[in-house]
Amino acid sequence: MNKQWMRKEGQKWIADNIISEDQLDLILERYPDSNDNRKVTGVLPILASVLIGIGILSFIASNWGEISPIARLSLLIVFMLGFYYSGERYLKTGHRSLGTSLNLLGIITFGASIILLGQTFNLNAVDARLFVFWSLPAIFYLFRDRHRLYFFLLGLLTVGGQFYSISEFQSFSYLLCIVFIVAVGGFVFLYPSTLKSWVFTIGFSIQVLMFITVNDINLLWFFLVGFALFTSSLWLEKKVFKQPFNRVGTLIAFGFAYGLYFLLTNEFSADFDLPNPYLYIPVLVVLFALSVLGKRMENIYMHAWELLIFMPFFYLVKVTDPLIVGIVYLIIMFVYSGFKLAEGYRNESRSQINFGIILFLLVCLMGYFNLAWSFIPKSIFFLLGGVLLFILNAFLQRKKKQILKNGGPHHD
Amino acid sequence: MTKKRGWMIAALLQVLFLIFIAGSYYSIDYFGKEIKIKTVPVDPRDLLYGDYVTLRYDISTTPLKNYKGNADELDRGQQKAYVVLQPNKEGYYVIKNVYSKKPDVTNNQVVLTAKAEKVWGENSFDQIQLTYGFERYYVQENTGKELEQQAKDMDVIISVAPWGAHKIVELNP
Repeated sequence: MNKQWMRKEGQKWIADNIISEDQLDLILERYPDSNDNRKVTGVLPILASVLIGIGILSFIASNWGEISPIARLSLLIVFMLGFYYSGERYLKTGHRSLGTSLNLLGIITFGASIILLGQTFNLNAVDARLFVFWSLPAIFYLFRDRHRLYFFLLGLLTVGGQFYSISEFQSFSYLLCIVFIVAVGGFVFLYPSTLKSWVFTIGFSIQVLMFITVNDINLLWFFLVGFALFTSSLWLEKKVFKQPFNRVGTLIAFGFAYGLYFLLTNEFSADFDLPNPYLYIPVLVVLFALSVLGKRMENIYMHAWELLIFMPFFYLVKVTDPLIVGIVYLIIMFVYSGFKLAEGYRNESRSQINFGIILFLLVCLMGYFNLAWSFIPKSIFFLLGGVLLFILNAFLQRKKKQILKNGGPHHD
Repeated sequence: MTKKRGWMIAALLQVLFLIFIAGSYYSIDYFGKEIKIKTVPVDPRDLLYGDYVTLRYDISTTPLKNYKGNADELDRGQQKAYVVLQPNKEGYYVIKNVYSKKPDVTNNQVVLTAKAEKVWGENSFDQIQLTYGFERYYVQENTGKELEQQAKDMDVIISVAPWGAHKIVELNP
């Protein structure tokens, strides 16, 4: 809150006889200026610690050959303890961001030390164990101080570590996945926050996707994972997981519709692999039943179109031409995003409308791309596409404003 | 009180962990058995990654018939395997057999753990690729060029501890 801005606004209120001058002074006194200052300067230590962290990592990467291994180890330990100690000191005196940044540096130094020792001693890692150990101090500080920086570092270590394990060793680290679910998920469960629950949901989806790719499982199983996320959003008691599970599940299904449309309408659908239907269909039916039941329990009318996007139309390639199935997907996406948008307008919910607009624009753009590409010269194609998108967006945004103007959003 | 001291315990554990890594490395010197193996040429493009040299060994591949266990397991990507080495006439350690379970060995043999994967051999799908974890040798930056010239044909001395840990002791051109 900016005090100067408040004073200026307050003058208008006085002019309109909403408040008196004394009342404005009283209001202004309630908001001390210092808060604002602290916020700006609070970013600096974080930035500084990021720079120092990068410095430490590149220092190590350049393999400082002249120092003996034992001296290197001692140096790193001194650095690490120094960061932890000063971090603790600053936390005690109330410098929360600075103390946290120093602790963060301590954790980074710990991981860097493990890497450096590995290089010094020519120990080759064979799995992602390094990241599991690296996560442990981050978990300790996260649950002790509950600072969001530890949360993001932990998310980075567990998801990034998994990525490293996949690309370097072609194997999925179950241990790292468990650490992610228990520590990151557990933290969101205990201390709910919207942003963190999104981080967890996206991180979780990435982990599952990596599991599926590295084990050569048919990618369409990930589609079911999206459906499972959506279904569990209907059953979950925890409110903080509901929206991200619902949205990410929907987005995964939408992404599949998008990809399948491209795959099937273009000519590389010849070796299109389907998952074993005797396993796939039962799971899908169970999820379907559960989601219908879940909606019933909540006493919400189940919109048929909500489940439309989760139907396995791709099995139709067995009986008909892939091109037709691709067109079916395009229609499905149009219908789905249209309904989503209409629902947003009906509920007068800003976030639902925005979500619907994005989906709808994506489908329009894609349909246009695929259909118009072969018919018109490229420059006109881009020109028309851009203009079309502008008009569509302007139309949708205006409609949104009209609806939200009267009384504003009732629920968001 | 515990809340105040918590960070000290956490920091101490981290220090101990680092010392443990270093200690386990040095203890190989005292308890390990040194074996000599031969390197084979590597595709020169991915030999040098800035600060380490990629090494391939004589023992990095072996015919599938040496695998004592269910060979179907190897189709599923990398499997843990136990490789029994024994010295040949020139003193180099070569593969005797590869097992899926830990075998008993005689005194002059050495067991290494490795990740095994079925790969294409010269004319059919009958080779095993073995990854031991000492395929990289870290060097000081910009000193890898000379090693690169020699890496085609080198003797590598590796020390293997009784509990399976190993390290590269030296590279001899």
